[in-house]
Amino acid sequence: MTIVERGAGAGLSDKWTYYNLHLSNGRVLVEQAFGISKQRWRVFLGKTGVTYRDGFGMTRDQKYILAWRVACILHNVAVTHLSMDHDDQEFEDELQTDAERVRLEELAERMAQRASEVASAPNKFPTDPTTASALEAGKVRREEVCEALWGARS
Amino acid sequence: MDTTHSIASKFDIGEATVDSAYWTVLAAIDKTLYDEYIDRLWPFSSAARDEAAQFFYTRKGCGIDNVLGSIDGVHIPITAPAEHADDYYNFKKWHSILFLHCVDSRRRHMYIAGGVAGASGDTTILSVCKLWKKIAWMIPAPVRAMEDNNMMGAGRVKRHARLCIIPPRTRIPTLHTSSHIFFQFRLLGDGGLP
Repeated sequence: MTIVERGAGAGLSDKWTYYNLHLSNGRVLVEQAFGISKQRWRVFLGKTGVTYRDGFGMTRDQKYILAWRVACILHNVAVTHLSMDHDDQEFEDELQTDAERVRLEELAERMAQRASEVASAPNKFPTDPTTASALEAGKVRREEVCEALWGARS
Repeated sequence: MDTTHSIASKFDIGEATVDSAYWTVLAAIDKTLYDEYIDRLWPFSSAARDEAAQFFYTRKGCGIDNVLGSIDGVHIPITAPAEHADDYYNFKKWHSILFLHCVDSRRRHMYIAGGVAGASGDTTILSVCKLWKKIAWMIPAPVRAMEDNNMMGAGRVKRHARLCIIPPRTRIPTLHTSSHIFFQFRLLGDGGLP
């Protein structure tokens, strides 16, 4: 399921601002990944790309797609084997506290509960993300998460 | 930093040969490493899902449960094509091809869908890719939906947005088909997604 960040600003309640903050903290990872990939292969940086032409059995569009995909693969290879992300290591240390362990147990419990709930209910979600019902379903999910976050704050 | 020209003179071959070798190598990398370095990163097993969810739940300042990763679109700059150039003109006012990515906790790309013309939005990709249809709505997770990055040819798209199609490759059968647990998960996204 997709959580959506709403525009922060005037008129937004404390609850949603709090939600936005927490969502952004998780969402930065994807932006950082793009930033790192694009810096690694600077062809993709900025507004003007390289010029490819049809040839070697590929159209130019296919060449762009292939180039970007290979860039992503090599990015993954680099992250996996070179391990330049030091903050991941720090994060693993953080995990060791008792409070975190309790939270994890809670999480596991809630996951199991959720899994049984979902298994008993038929899948009633829209199959097309562009329809109004999909947006509605997304809104329901967001409120769920928002409530959970607000309730769990310390 | 070498240009095609400098490589050509170094090895005493034609520039076209260098270009040919370049694309051969790219195609080879894509063919051999794609499964291992992108496909396999998607958390299909319950252990992998738990791990991802734990990361985001315990991440400082995040604390949302059942999260597998974050999702967003990315525009890859291209030079304006001769035909249908307006379809590639994105909201940032340059020509691009749009991709939709899911990223895992280590900022690795674990899902790539796309190759649509830049004038489309993230939802355009979402409406045609298998991520939404098979996984996003709590259908059992072990569906290998990763062919999306190869075929974006089907489905409704914005006006005359031209889609790029790369012929599908043969796939290795999945190893993770044993798990049939229903599982609700979340992907953190921005305002462009439902």
